[in-house]
This record gives sequence, structure tokens and C-alpha cells, in this order.
Amino acid sequence: MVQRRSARQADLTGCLAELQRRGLVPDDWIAVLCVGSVALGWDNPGSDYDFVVVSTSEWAGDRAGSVPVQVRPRSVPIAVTTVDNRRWEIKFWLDTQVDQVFAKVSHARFESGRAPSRELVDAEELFLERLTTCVPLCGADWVERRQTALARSAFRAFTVTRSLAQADASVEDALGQLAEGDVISAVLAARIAFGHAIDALLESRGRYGSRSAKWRARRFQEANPPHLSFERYWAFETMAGLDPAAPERWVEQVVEVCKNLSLEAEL
Amino acid sequence: MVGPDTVPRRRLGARVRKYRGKLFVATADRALELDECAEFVFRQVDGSRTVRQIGEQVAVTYGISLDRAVRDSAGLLVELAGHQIMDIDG
Repeated sequence: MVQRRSARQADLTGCLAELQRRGLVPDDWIAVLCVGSVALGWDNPGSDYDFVVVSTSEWAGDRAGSVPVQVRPRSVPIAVTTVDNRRWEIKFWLDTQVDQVFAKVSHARFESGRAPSRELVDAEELFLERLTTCVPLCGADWVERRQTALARSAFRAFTVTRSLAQADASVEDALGQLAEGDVISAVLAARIAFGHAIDALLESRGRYGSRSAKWRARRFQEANPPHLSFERYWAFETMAGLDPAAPERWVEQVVEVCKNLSLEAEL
Repeated sequence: MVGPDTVPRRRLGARVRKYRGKLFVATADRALELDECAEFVFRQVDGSRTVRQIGEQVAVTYGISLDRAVRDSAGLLVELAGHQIMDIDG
């Protein structure tokens, strides 16, 4: 089993000073966060360092690009620099943009029946997801306040709902394909359904990040859900139990597991 | 017809959601909210337990007679079957 290395064991000492030395922290900063694999302690020697800077006014320095968001202003600037042969990427969010993203994941919005995919674009969801696992380099009070607000929001309900809907749709595909004798497609549909069902289960336990499937096993290890052992999860994830002579049996097993997991993934 | 030896199975096409502590089960055209006892029965259905075995669990958990627990469980399962949520043909 892979062990998680605490991000605080990673050498973040001096990162804030280096960002400031390179002019990448505006004077009106509210918080500077280390996010992504480094913050989680899941990085490797080739990993980028990802940072988020939150401030009150728009980033006026050099930018390598930007990501689109559906709040105002409509984009989040990105700066890139290299430190000791490592790529550092910095996203510059405005506090007012963060306010608008939070407004999208209110319980009132969720209960109005809005589809989660119509609420949050990728960059916005990634921001909220990373807020739960970030390491603040400064502005820890702001981070704590935002984390508390996120925990009280309907973000979990939105993400779990989306993953369950995707799992259900893929289960329907698998069953339909199986009924028509299209077993090879049913196997792939069941495999996709399983991924979504696991994502829903993990999201229901506050482990977000379903848009990046490569970390699913690590997220599963950390969440350690009582409903499924890691060994059983990994067997389905790697399709280890698939008998080429009787693939339909594996499809049926996976579908059954998906349906049982959906009982445990509370919105 | 549901008897004590019937083995109910959840329909795989039914959708399940747990929200604010309550379980909702839906088919294509309608959703049902299950109360605590109905949820308990629903969770006992695993494709191998008989109605009698489910009733035994209900009787122990809720402190009611076995006869009543089997009867109530069977009634619920028939209702769920009517909503295309359960198969009770086996």
C-alpha cells in the first residue's frame, strides 16, 4: 500500500519568500495556498508545484495564460516560473470570484434541482476541491473560514449527485448492452459505472477530485470507506476478476456493487 | 404472489439516493421516500435472503413478532414490486 507523505514533510519552506522575490504575490494578498499533489504529499520528482493566490484586486503582472470561469471577471490569470528545475504554476483568484463560486453551491440552488454540470466549470470545481486539501503558506484564517463554509455548502451534494447520475447511466448502458448480447461494450460500460460509483462514495466522504481519475486509488486509501475493502475495490478497478470466458458474470457483479454503493453515498 | 420463501431482488434499473438521512428510490417516472423501517427492509434485500429471513431481521431490530414482521415485510416488497423497484418472482 502506498503511504501518504504529509505535505508538511515536503519542502515548502521558502516557497512564499520565493514567490514574493519573483514578484508573484500582490500587495493586497489575502491568502497563498499550495495545492494539488504537492499539498497532498502525492508528488514525485517530476511534479509541478501548484499555487493559488487570492487577492482583492486583479493580477496586473505577467501572465502565461488564463483559465475560463463563469463568474466575473470571466478568467483566472496564470503565471508560470521555474524554480530549481521545477515548474511552478500560480493561479490568481479574486476573493470576489471565490464569493461567486460559493454562491453556486448553496443548498437553495441544489434543492432547486439545478444540474451540477451547469453550475460549476472545471476550474471552479477544482478550486473548491483543492481548498479542502491545500496547505496555506499565508492567510490560514481565510482558508479555515472558507473550508468551514464549503463543508456547510451543497458542494458535496452536487458532486455526489453528478457521480451517481453518471454511474446510473453507465449501469443502464451495461444492462442494455448485455441484453442485446453486446458483451464487450457492457464490460466497458460497467467499468465506467464502477469508477463513477466509487467517485460518489468518496465524494460523500469529502474526498473530492473525481475529474482526475488517476488519483482515485489514493483517494480511496485515504477515505478508507467501510463498505468496500481496498483489495476488493482494486480488483474491480483493475478488472482482475474478469473471466474472458464469462465476462457477463463480471458485468453483473459490478452492476450489483455499483447499486449497493449508491446506497452508501449520501448526498 | 409473495410467500415466506420468496427471494426478492432489487431491480438494477432503480435509482437510489440518500439525502438528509432519508432514502429515496426512483424508477423512470416516480420517486418514493422510504421511512426508516422500509429502508431497513430494502437494505436487507440482497438477492439471497428470503422474505422470512428478512422478517426475522425486522423482528429482532424492531421488537415485533415474527409473523407481523414477515407480513409487513412482504407487504412492503409487494408495494415496491408494484413500482418496478423490486422483483418478487423468484
